[in-house]
Parts: sequence; structure tokens; C-alpha cells
Amino acid sequence: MGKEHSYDEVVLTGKSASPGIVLGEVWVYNPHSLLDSEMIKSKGTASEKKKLDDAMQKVLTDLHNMAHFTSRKSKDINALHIIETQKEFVRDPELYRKMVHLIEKEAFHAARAVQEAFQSFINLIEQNDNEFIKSRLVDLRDIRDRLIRYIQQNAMISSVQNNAIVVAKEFSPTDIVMLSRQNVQGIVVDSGGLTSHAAIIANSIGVPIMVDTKTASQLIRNGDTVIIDGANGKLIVRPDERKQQQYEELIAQQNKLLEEETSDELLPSTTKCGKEVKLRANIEFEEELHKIKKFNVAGIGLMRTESLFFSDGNSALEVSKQERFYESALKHSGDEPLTIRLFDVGGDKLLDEDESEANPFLGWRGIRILLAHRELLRSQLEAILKVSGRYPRRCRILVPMICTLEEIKSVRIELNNAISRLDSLGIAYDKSIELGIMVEVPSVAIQAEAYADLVDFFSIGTNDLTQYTLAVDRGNNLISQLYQQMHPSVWQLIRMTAEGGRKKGIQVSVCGELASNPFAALILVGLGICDLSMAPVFVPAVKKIIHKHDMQEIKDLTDRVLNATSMAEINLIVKQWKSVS
Amino acid sequence: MEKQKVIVKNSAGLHARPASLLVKLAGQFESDFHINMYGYKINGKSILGVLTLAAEQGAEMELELEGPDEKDAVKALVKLFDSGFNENNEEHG
Repeated sequence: MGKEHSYDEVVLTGKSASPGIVLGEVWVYNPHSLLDSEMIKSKGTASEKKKLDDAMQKVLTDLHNMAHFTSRKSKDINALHIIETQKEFVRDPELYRKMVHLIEKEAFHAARAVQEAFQSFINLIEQNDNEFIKSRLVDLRDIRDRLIRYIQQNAMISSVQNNAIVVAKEFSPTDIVMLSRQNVQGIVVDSGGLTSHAAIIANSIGVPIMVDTKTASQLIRNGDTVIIDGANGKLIVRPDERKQQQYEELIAQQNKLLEEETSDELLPSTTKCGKEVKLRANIEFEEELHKIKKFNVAGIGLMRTESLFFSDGNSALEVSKQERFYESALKHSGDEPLTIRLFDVGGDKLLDEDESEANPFLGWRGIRILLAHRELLRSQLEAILKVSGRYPRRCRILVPMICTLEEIKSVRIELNNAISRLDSLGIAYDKSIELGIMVEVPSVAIQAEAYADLVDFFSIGTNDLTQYTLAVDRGNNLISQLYQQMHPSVWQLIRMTAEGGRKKGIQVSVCGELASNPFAALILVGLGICDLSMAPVFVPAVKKIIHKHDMQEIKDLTDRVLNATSMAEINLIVKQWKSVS
Repeated sequence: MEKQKVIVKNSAGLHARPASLLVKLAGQFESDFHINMYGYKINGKSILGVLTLAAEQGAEMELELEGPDEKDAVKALVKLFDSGFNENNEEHG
């Protein structure tokens, strides 16, 4: 098929978290496309076999990790059985023999060999009359797709052109991390909302992403020029010359502004009247650590640890693997403390679709999983304690999704047990290590004082606090207009948390998206919360705004916000504030 | 070589869960393991092989083991068949 030319310009709408403009050449990411192509024969059978073996190892690790998070309660036993069966599919000797035969004798490349070998078994099973057995075909196909995905992921991602804009139907979190290492300029996805895990990761890594474009991956071809216009939520495909010129000018302006902003980073992180506000980084991946220096950020206020579960062949439970990760974060954050959040899986993060619950955000997630799978909790406490011994007074433990006092008591007991074990082994740890909780469920904000008696610090997670307060699933596009982090009720809960913490003398910080909104950051400071953590890229803008105002102005503004009773009033306050500042 | 006839006792037959128990157990032995049924011969350590038999309740099959631990293996496997894969009174999934 010859390459087609001369399509007309198309403009799609989408959602973008950052207002920036990016222009570049498209590279379409489609892990299955190599299968459709004519290139069946591989170049080296040894390297193809290695690709297959690596992918099998990764899929087994995934299944192993998934089993850790699966509830052992009655009805979910089925989910565990399915995982066990899937492991046997991966380990099936006949299937493996067939795949290796295709690679070695027929010179198929690995993905094609997987496709063919699985198909031959699928055909056999489909001829079956037994419905129970046929119903497991879905699991077999799932394993096939996972294998192919891993095989192709490496091949596809390593062939991305520098500065490309990558377009796909969907991305997994690992796709995005791997892409960020390839210097891509931007990412465009058909589906998802701004709060989807892929979008959050892209934002935190600092790759502009446009989601919810619906048809982008079908309309756009490799090599097309596209423009992501974040501010206007537009994706311009194959722009005409005039438009391209227009946007190139806008990009030049944008770069100039960015330069000015970067020079502001040397501002002290204080209000106009000199009150210090710590602006810290939310970090999820090692590749983000260099940003602490780049954006002049005061260490890490929230270190997410779920990335330890991304397949690299090692179990996340390996204490030494965890230690390396935490240590590398400590090395990048000067003398500042490092707040490590315990594994926060469930909700929309990481777990497989097969284990879907009717209400995942009200279900199996966070500390609930950790308390049911104590081996996860114990390995993590041990790793953090061991690192704290080498970096005394710098590590803090943050517990996600607490919603009862009993949960934090149980964690405290586990922490004490872990300490006793290290004592008996003569291993050093930080004896004054702090234990804090995420305040992301209204029940905790309402009883803030009672919780403050049991912990050393609070960190308010405004994303979840908002969705639990307003009963809005943040991933649901039908009701996304109801998801308002600045809703008066959310402000009241934040106020209660800040007051509860202050009364009991414990530190309160915010690590949700709200902190990265300059106006909201002012109000948080007005509520006495002077420790804010956000994606590093937002720090310069927040710092600039805070430095422009003195405490009196901030307090007046805060009073107005706390007196507001509707979103309309809040919006009006923001609008007036913007017009004068 | 050890050969032994067995009957599938559990009501749902050799569906995914029993098949996965069977291959997992067989995998613990060094001996080669084949199942003969309806004139087919499949590798008993392959879950896909076992599933393609689609053996239902009452089906008769012959276990065939060959290797250093064939006696222990046949004993263990027969026991698993006799137990109905521990699921006779449960609902299958």
C-alpha cells in the first residue's frame, strides 16, 4: 500500500490539564499494528525467544502482584482461581513449545508466534460443547494480549522519534513512563478523563497530554503534523500553513513566558510579608526526581509507591528493591524530609478490570488492602525503617485511605512490631520516625482532633476528599462538572482538619491537586497550612502568587471563601481576585 | 511406566479450576505425564491440553506416567481425581 497524502485539516476537541501549546509530528502507538503488518519473519531467533521469555516473566509477575491485592473473602475466591488458571496458561509447556517452534523453525517474530500459538488452542477450545470451559477463553485471550503487549511495548516505544507527539487509543501507566524517557513532546489519547491515572502520571512527569479526543487514533496517521492547544481544548490535525504559522508564533511567546517564570524560581518561598511556605513535590517515578532541582522545590511532600508494582520482573515486596527506590528519592531531596505514602492501590489504580467492583472507590483500596494483606504492609514498613536508619529524621510514613480510628491503631501496632523485629536483629532505624495519615475521607476531617491524638501529621488529599464529599466519581465524564475541589463544603472540611491539627499540635499539609491552583494555594495558606505538595511543574506559578500577597490580604480572601455557600460565590471571588492581581 | 484408569467425579467436570489443580500437581513430579481419552493423548502438564479434553462428570480416562517418580505421581494424581478436586459440594466457577 502506498503512502497516502493530502488530507484536509481536522479539528478535534479534547481535554488538557496544561494550557500549553505543542506542535509536532505524530507517531501512532499501536501495540497490535506489527501483527497486521506483512513483516512476519524475524531477524534473529535468539532475540525473539528472549522477548518471549521476558514478556512471560512480566506477565507472571503481574499475575503474582494481582493475587496479592485480591480479597480472600468468599466471592472473590473466584478471582483468585482465575489468576491461578491464568498462571498455568502462561506456564503451559505445550503452548510454549509451539511458540518456540514458530520462532525457531518458522522464523516468526515473537508477537506473531504468540498470536498463532494461542489461536490454535483457542480454535480447539471453541469447538468444545462445554460452556464452562469455553467461558475461560476470555482469560486465555487476556493472557495472549498481555504477552503481545509486553513484547510490542519495548519494540514500539524504542522506535519513537525524538520530539514526536504520540497518539493512541489508550495508554497504560507503564507506557507513559517509558515514553517520557524517549523525549516525547506530547501525548494524545482517545479516551479517559483528566483524572485518569494515565493523565495524572503524564502531568506529574511533565508531558503535555490531551485526553478524551474520542477519534484521534483513527483519524491521525504516522507523520501527520498536529497541534495540541491545551488552553482551548483543541487538537488540530494537519493544520494548513497559515494556522501552523499562527501557532508557531504563539509557541514562541509561550517559551518566552516560560523563561521568565523560570527566573522567578529563585524567589524565596514566602508571602510578601515573609511567612515561609514550603512548596514540595509529589513524586511517583524515579524519572521525576531531577525536577526537584529543576523547579527549586523543597523536597518531596508525597512519594507515591505504587510504581514499585510495575513489572520489571521483581516483586514489589522485595525489601531491598523498595529501599533503593526510597534512598534514591532521599538523595535527590537535600535535607528535606521525605514523606512516603504506603501502597495505595485499588480504586482505579493498577487493579485489573476482571476484578472490578460495583463501587471501586467505596471498596477495596488503600489501607483496607494493606490490613488484609499484611505481608505488603510489613515489607514496606521494614524497608522504610531500614532506610530511616541511614537517613535519620528524614523519613515519614503516610497511610492512605484511613477512615476509622481502628485502622490507624492497627498500623501503629504493625509499626511497633516491625521496630521490635529490627531491634532484635540489631538493625538501625530512626526511633522518632513520624506516622501520619491522608485526610481524604470526610469522616476523618470531621473527627480530626481524635485522629490527631493518634498520629504525627495530616496530609490532606483533596482529590479524593472532593469526590467523597460531593459523591462524584472523578473519572465519570457524565458528572465531571459536579467535581469541584473548591466547593464550599470541601473548604469547610479542610478548615476542620487544619484546626484539629493545630489544636493538637500536629503538622498539616496538602498534597492534592488543589494545592497546585494558585488561588487555592493562597486560601490554604490563609487556613494556616503552609506546607503544600504538588507536581513540581506547578511550583513556580504557586510560589510567584504567594510571594505577591501579604498575610492580611490572604486572610481577608480566606474569610470570604469560608463564608461562601455556593460554587457560584466562589467563582465570583476568584474572578474578582484575578481582575485585581 | 505406570498406567491407571480414573473417573471424573466432580459434577462440573474438568473445567478450569480442577484442570489448574491437576497440572500444578503434575508439575511437581519429574515424570512425564500423559492422559489418554477417546483415543486422544494429551500432555497432562498442559492446562490447555487438559481443557481441550472437555471431560465431563463420569468421563473415564487413563493416566500414563513415565519417569523416576512415576509411582508417587500416579498415587497423588489418583487421589486428586478421587477427591473430586475438592469441589463436589461447592458451586463451581
